[in-house]
Amino acid sequence: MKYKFVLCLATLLSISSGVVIADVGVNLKLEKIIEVYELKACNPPPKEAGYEFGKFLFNSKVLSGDRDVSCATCHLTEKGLADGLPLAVGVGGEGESLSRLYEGKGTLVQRNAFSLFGRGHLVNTNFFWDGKVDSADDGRVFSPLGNQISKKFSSALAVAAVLPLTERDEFLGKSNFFSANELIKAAGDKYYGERYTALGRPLQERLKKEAKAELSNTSAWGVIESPDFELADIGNGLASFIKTEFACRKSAWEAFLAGNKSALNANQKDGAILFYGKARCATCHSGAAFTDFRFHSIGVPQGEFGPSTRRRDLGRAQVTNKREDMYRFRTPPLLAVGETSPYGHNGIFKTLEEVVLHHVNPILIYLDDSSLSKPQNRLKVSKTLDSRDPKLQSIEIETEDELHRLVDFLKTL
Amino acid sequence: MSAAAVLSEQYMGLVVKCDSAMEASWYGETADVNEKRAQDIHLLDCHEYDKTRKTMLTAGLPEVYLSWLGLQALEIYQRPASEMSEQHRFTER
Repeated sequence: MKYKFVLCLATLLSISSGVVIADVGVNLKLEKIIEVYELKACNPPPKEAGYEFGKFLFNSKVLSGDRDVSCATCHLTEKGLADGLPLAVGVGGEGESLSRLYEGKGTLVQRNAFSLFGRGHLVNTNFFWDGKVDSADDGRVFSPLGNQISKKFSSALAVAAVLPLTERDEFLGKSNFFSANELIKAAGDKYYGERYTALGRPLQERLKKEAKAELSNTSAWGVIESPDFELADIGNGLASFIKTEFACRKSAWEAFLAGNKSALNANQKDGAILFYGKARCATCHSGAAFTDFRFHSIGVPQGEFGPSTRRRDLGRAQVTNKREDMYRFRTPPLLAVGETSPYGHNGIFKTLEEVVLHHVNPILIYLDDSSLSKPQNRLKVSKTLDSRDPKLQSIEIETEDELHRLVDFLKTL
Repeated sequence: MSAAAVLSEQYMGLVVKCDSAMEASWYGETADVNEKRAQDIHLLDCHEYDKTRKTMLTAGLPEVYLSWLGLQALEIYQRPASEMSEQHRFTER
């Protein structure tokens, strides 16, 4: 009898200690992750003076040559501030998201649209997939518009915000031999640096006419009417809006960082531990925006279209002209990543699971996608695969279950 | 005996996890601050291993049993059980 009692007690103790060990394991690890990575809940910045001006500009089609595109066209709230398309559809398109593609009249912008969450208040040192807007330590901002005009811009974000306005496929508009809108006429045949100057006046005239009803009683009106008005004023307004409006995302991960320990379920917590630990995701997807702002290759196959010659996409090398930068792209920030499918600079990955898997198994996509087995791709696979970052070798995702937990965590961001 | 029944499987899993973490940190680039952070988090698996080990010792399990479990773990986790058993199944009737 006594023996049975001792055995029973020992069993109970063991079971309870087993449970405690498991619990402490997960929670302790999450505490350590927050400590080691110095993670903090997002703290939204106060509204800047240019917020209302930026809000108007972001949502208005007045900035596009043919009045058919606004920033909000490709940065949709319901798509995590992306557009749900592999490649964005710019001027000439109608509707939103997939309908722009199916309608078929729009011009393809040669890269995947990205989310805008966290772009302003965080330490964003560069913008776009190839980092074509890049800030130097001394405060200068390099971009296709030239660094000499950086003084009136309030930030690199402000430069990035106006760059699409100077692109024919994104904002300037379509033209033919007989007709062209006034923005195309002013800047269509000019180089980027000259486009900056050329677009200031016609856009100012448009805003004076078309923004009067909404902005004449705001501080923005003084900016619009100023004789010193430049494209940078538009960029600064847009940056003020983006910086505040999209500063923080109401996500389960944010709630968790703010102290709600039940904001994540058990799978998501395991996924977080993988993300910050053995899966090594945070070695590149680091910081509050989940990016190191550096350029890496994960060997993404070439798509059907690309901004480089012969419809390829050379990535960062487009900007630096360096061989070692070929096929490298800026580590994409991950805020709202669960809502921004498809993935990759050319949107070639349909699901989050596909793109995560590609980090550890770059062969599958070539086997699964028959278009990548065609001769023109089949003979060029090593170009992209050989460019893969050696850091990828450190990733440890050992089971399907771990893969799913990792994806579950990503969906909380 | 009951501690062995409850914790042995968990212990074997942790043996392999800790082994994996130690190997990854040995080969990892320590000059990279984020790689170093990831190693720190990954190596917490070894802390969990240590705690489970101490719990089992406190419950009276002998050291030699834990050593045996360690060896078992290395054998079992080389390949999933399903793969090990697959070749022994009849595939046609």
